[in-house]
Parts: sequence; C-alpha cells; structure tokens
Amino acid sequence: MPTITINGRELTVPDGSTVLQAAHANGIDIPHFCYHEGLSVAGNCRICLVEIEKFPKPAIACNTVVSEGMVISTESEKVQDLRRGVMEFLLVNHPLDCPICDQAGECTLQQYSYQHGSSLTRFEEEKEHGPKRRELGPHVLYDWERCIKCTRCIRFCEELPGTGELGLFLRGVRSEIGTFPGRPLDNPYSGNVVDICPVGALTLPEFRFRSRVWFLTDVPSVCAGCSRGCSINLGVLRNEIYRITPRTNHAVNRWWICDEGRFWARKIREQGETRLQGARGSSDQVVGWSAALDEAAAVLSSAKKRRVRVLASPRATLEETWLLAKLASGPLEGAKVHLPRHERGEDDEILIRKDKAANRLGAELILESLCGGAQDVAELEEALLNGEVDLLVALGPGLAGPVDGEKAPLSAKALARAGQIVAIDAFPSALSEAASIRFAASSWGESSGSVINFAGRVQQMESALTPQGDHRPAYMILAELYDRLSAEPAPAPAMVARSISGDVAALAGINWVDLPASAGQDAEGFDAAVQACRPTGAAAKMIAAGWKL
Amino acid sequence: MEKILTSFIDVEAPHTIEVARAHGVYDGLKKSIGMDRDELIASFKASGLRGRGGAGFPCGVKMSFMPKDPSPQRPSYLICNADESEPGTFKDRVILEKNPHLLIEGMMISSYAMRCSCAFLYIRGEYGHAARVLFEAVEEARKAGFVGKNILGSGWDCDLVVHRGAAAYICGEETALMDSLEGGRGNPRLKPPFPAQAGLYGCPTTINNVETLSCLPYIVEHGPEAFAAIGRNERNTGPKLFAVSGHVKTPGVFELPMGIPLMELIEDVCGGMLRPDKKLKAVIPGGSSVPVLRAEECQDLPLDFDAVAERGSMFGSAAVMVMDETTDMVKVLARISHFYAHESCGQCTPCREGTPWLEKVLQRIARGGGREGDLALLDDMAARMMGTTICPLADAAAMPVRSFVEKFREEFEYYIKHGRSMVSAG
Repeated sequence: MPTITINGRELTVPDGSTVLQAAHANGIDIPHFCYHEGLSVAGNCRICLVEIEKFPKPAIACNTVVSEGMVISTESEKVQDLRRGVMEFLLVNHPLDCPICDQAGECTLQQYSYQHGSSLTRFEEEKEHGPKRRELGPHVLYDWERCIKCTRCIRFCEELPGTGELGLFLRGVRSEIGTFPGRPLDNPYSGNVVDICPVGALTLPEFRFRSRVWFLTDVPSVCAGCSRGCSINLGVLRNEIYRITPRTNHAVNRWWICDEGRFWARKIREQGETRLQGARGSSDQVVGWSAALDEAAAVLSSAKKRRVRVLASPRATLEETWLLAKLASGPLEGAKVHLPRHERGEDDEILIRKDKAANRLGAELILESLCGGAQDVAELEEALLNGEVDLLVALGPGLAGPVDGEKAPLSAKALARAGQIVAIDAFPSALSEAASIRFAASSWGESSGSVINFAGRVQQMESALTPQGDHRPAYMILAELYDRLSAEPAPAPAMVARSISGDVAALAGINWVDLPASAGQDAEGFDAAVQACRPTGAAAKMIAAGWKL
Repeated sequence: MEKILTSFIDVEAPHTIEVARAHGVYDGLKKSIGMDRDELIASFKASGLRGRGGAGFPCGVKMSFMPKDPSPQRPSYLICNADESEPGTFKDRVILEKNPHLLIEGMMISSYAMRCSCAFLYIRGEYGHAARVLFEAVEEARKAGFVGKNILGSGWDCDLVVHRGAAAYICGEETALMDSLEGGRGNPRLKPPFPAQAGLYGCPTTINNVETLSCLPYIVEHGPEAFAAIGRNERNTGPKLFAVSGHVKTPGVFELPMGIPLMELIEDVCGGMLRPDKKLKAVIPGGSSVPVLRAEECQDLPLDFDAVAERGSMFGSAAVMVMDETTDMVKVLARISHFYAHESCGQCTPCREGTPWLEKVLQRIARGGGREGDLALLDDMAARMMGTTICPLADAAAMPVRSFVEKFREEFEYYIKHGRSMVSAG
C-alpha cells in the first residue's frame, strides 16, 4: 500500500493502482477520454497527462502505476496548459455540431471543453471532412467527423464479446474506425459501443435525432430479458421509453447490457397493438373489472382445492409471486403449484443467460417457503391431459413482454382439457387464448417490483410509465382477488417487501429501503451462487483488470 | 582511417558470402562463439558503441537488460531495425545492399551474447533491392552454418528472419515495428513495459540499428579498445556512416571517424558547395526531425552525439542535409511538415491533429496567405506537441518547426508581410 501525494494531499492507495485510479478513488478528477475502467489501457487521448516529480516529462495518469512516495500534481499551471492544448487539438477537426448531435448534454468533449478548454479557437484552416453516417452494423452508425479515435469501441469488441469486428483504418488525421469486409459490427453486445463512445461518433439509429438527452428522465430498472437481471436505466420522456442504457452495477452487469435487453422497450412498443386489454369474464354478461374479478373469486372459492392447480411465473415480480403464493397456500390451500421454464439458446460467458426470466430464483424461494416448493410443469401437462384439473389459476408467460413464438410451457391440447382457466397476462399466449377468465396486466416498465437474479442478487425496479391501456399491474389484480377470498386485505405493494422478508429466510436481511438507490443486495446464503456468476475466460480477465481498485 | 563498415564495398560482388569471407567477415562470429556471453556484452560496453539509429543509447548497456536465462516459453529476440526512413537518411542502405554478411555476422554475435533463439531483420518496404540481397545472403549464411541450427557446431540454434515492411515511417519506431512484425497495424506501444521486458510477441526483445550491429564484429575481433580509439572522445567512439545530401559537390555515404568536423565533411569529403559562388545557409545535421543549424553554427562543430547536442541540435542518424543561400526555408519546412503529417500514425491527439495543422499553416504561408500571429501559433502548437505523446514522432514534427521559425524568422516574416519568398526576391 504505497503512500503518495496528489496535489499536496497524502494518500495511501492499493498496490498496483494507476495514478488515475488512485485519484478517482479519492475524489480527485483527472479528465480522460480513452480510458474506461472496463477496458484495457490505450493511452492515446493524452488528456490525462499529469506532472510527477522526478519524471522527465508529463506522464499519462491512466498508464502510470503509483510507487511509494510519488508526488503528483493534477492541477498545476503546466498540467492545465497541457489539457488546454489537448482540447484545442481535439476540436481542430471536430465539426462542433453540438446543436444537432445526440451526444450533446452527455458528451465528454463538451464537458471537458467547458472545464478545461478555451472558448476561442486559433484554427483558421479548412477542417478535415469525412463520412457522417456510416453503418458499422445493424445497430450502430459512425460519424467520422465527430470521432476522436480513442479506440474504446475497438477495444470493447476485442475484449468483451471477443468478436473484434472493429478496427482502425488509414493513418494520422485520416484514421477512421471501420469494419472488415463482410463482417459488420453485429454481436450480441454491439450497442455498448455507443454508450462508451465519449463523443457523438457512434449513435443508435433507433435513438438518433429523437430527443435531447436532457429531456429524458433516467428511471432505474432491471432488465426482464433473462435471469441476469441487468441493472438498467430507462430514458423516459412523455410516458415513452426512448432508450435503455446500462446502469453500472459491479455485482450484476458491470457497465454493459446485451442488445436484446437494449431493444426490449422497442419490442414492447412495436407489438403494442397485440397487447391484451381489459378484464374478460367467462360470458358476455360479465362486463368490467369488478364483475370479472367477482366471477373469478367465485370460481376460485367454489373449486375443489385438490383439483385446482396454480401456475406461477418466473417473470412475475417477487411481490406478485408472494401474493400468488399467499392465495395458493391460503384460500386455495391444497392446490399444487407449478413453475414453468422459459429457456432459449445457451448461457454465454458474459451476461446472456439461457433462462429468459428475470425472477426464477425469487419465485423458487417464495414458493419453497410458502407452498412447499413448485412442481414441474410436465406433471401439470399430464394432469391436464388426464382431465384431473378443474381450475387453473395462472400468471402468463407474456408478463414481461411479447412471447414471440417462444415454446409454450403447456400445450394447447392440455389447456383445452382444463375445466376453467383464470389467467393474468400482458401479451397474448396460448394460455391467455385458452383462458375462460382473463385479466390484462401491465407490462414491464409500467409497474414496480423486485426480482432476484440467478446469482441471488435482489434488485428493485421503479415503474417508469403510466399504463395507458385498459390493464392493471398484476399485483393489483391479485390483490383484488385476494381481498375477495381472504378475511385480511392484501398489503399495499410497498409494504409487501417486509412480509416477504418475514416469510422467506433467505431474504430476512434485505434492506428494502435502500434497494432502489443502490445496486441491489445479495440474498443471504447465495455467496456460492454469486461466485458462480463470475464470468470465465477472456471476459473474466477483463473484469479483473477493471476491478483493480 | 581504416574502413570497418565499408572496407570492401567497391570490389566485385561484395554482397556474396565468398567475397565477404575473403575479407574476414564471420571471423568475429567464430571468435565470439564459445566466449563468455557476459564478457562479450561487457566488451561492447567498454567499446563505447552508441546506437546508430539516432538516440545514441549505449549498445552494451541495452544488451545487458536482457534476461540471463530465457525460458523456452519466453525466448529472447533480437530485431535489427532496417526501416531506415527518416528523410535524408540513407546510410544503412549501403550496408544492406553491399555488405549484408557483415550485418548478419553482427546480428548473430548480438543474438549469441543475448541468448536469443531468433533474430528478425525488419527492412523498409521501399528497399526492394536490399531485401532481395538480404534474402539471398541469409540463405548463404544458413548453408555455411552461421545461421540456423547448431551454429558452428556450438549447439546454439538461432534463426534469422528477414521481414519486409509496408512502407510506413512510424514502423521505424521500435514498438510500432514490433506490432508490424507481428502482423498488426504499426502503432507505437505504451511504455512500460519496455521491449527488454515484453517486446516482440510479449517476449524480451532488443532492437538495434543496422549500423550498430555491423560494428560488433570489429569489436569482437580487435577488442573494445581498438574501437574506442576511433572517434573524438570516449563518449563518441568508432566509425560512423554519414549520409550527406543537398548542395554539396559529391553527396553520398561516407565512413568517417565519429567526431569529424562538419565543415571538413562538407569542404574536404564532399568537395565543397555545389555552386562555389553560393554561400552555405543552413545544415540539418541528423535527419529532418532535428533542429536546423545556421551557417555560423556549423563552424568548428565536431559531428558526434554530444557536440551536436551542445550546439542545440541532435546528431540523430547523421543524415547531413546541406542548404545554400538559394534555399527557401519556408518551403523546406512546409515540405518537412507535410512528411510528418502524412506519417503520423494518428493514435495520440497532439500528433494526429497537430501535425496536419502545422502543415496547413505552413502551406498557407508558403502560398502567400500568411497572417500575423501565425509564427507565435506555430511555436506554441509545436511546444504543446513536444513530450506529450506515446512516441517521439510529435517531437520530430515539432522540433524543425520551432528551430526553423526561430533561426530563420526574417524569412517567415517576409513571407507573411509580402506573400512571397525573400530568397527569390533577392
């Protein structure tokens, strides 16, 4: 643990820290463009030059490892002049098209220009010109004129997905980021290059020119795409999600998200026409939510409990699953509970999990504690086919978004043999088609709740959108049913968390109040699971590099 | 002075192994094999031999940074830098084309001393003829047992690979050269790590200039004292190849002792000024990147590392460019700046953006569009480029700008004021 001095402040920092890491860990800002804590060091932007005593010339903070007694100056006259110089050089050929640039407002070049640059330019020559709209791949556009050649995007593709589609072509001021013939930028993580681009050189066609970033409100949320449960921000304006960006969370997704998650909101928006609407009773005489709920409650209370089955969903939140489990273990006591799987593809070594549900572990934990565990869906299928099921109470597979031809957990043939089906779902599926009583639930982004990822990380998401159609949060629908069937009313959603902690031992220590603001919290006893989630191979090396501090 | 590097280049077919061996080439390698490796390196240190590529780092000291017991997993490598591409420099070409076996001998001696298992010769793409000569010479040397397996029956294996570059100035920078040799884009690497720690393919590597390596056989054969006896003083020893170009009667490459006075080189060796009635105006003593010297600064100047540095310039690669009074210094500088703008790899901001900016301002002045404040701008820009980048290319681009503008300021000012050259006006 060497002791160093930065700007007169004596600091003890971990061995092997770079000057930049040591400074940032102690709240001292050193500007940087090419450095990204999740990527290898390139040292090319030169804005992080600092003065170090006994060094013959200024050194870059990102690649200089601290040593005992090092005396560093990050704010001297000389350092500030160097920064002014680098800023001036960076803007020489920059188009300064901030008024129409998507990056404006969150642009490092803008920020440092304000902090470290000059408001005047001495450049009076013709600027270099180049392509303004080059498709690097299906999700990313490149603007040569804005690019500062920091190579973050190149390093990302080499080091995270390991696909290496991007390269630096040509030389000197004509250098450009490009792809190799026949190999466009098309990997499952390609959108991240847009996030890490410090300037407006890389943009998403789907967000390009759609909104100024300062009009967007970032609502912290959790991706519903798979059991990783990446921490994300939903950029919301006028009740629409304009973009999804990763929210740095070292316990879950570090700085990244996959493209499927990034375009989740678009998928929901594009298939909005198909969404389920309203509450539908078993006959045309049942009109409106109250009537349908009354009918469902009547069906539930009159059914023979041994011939009732409950289908939970790994896509429902902890709160929704808890209330469903309360129903199953209370008014419906004796009914068997099942939990389906929604799997596709394979786990990769980075983020993507084949389990395409965000809360499987949470659902399993709750059902284990309240209902003695969930049973396999195959058994339910068989029971349905054998005509042993009078009533199926189900949370559908489309709660978090369109099911897109995903293999249905229960066959249409089996569903047709059920006596009655009461289903809560947001997007249509074989289940909602077969349901006799069906309630339209709000989808992902429209309701709040908690989920536990495959590694035992508990995270909460806030509702980002006000539901516009005729649907209700699944929790509210379940609560209405519960109220009709139970002596005690269901707790308000915000109060459920405490009850869950009381019911589920693994969640007893969760500090629910802090969850939305923090990066989530590990459920007790899941250390081993958390270990297992650490990626291996190239990605692990990269993360280790990023976790130096 | 006895010629060491170019002693037999004027005979018929000097590049063949028969002729070379008849002139004693490979005797040094025979002597060195079996010698204690550390003693060999010590003798190179004692010789005072400094790197001939331009930086002048003591050759033996550099060799001593290499590991004493390289593992088979991380072998040591030698690279010979034959990417001679600094404008004005053409000295190595003589060795490459006329005396390749001396270089191969020097490379093998160096490889032996540093326990290398492979040596690479990286030659600039433009040197097509030299490359063909080298390919042939290496095969001859391999057949004769000087390269390859079990060299001279010693049990030591060391191959020699000749690799042609693709004609980029930046690939003469040692770490960019390594990237290029590995098959990648030639971009200078961050240091640390230094090549002796992690160089080519991440293995310990020493990289030396053609001329430096070609000096080693003489040191082995005649001892470090004999080598050190040549030259001006103990810090500037040995023979040196001078590549003289510009306004002299007989430009060319000349092997002379280190420290020969500049005016002697011009007057006696090169036959004086091209046009005797035109006076000497300026000399660039070490390749286009070093600060220019005015005529009066050229008097009583021994050409070696220390003396030229004391005079405020750099000895560099000893590429001496002589300019008489008819030379338009503004146009010379604009042309030099064009070269560095064209050759900047583009990694570092100050170099990528600064080199073309310098060029644009200078071209504008040369076109007659100079403005007040241009000279201050040039100087300030150049100052901000120096010492702020990964490799010294930005410095190489900045140094001539600062020195030309400082030393020939009146010519620049004339251009800015009158829109034309002071030289042609006179």
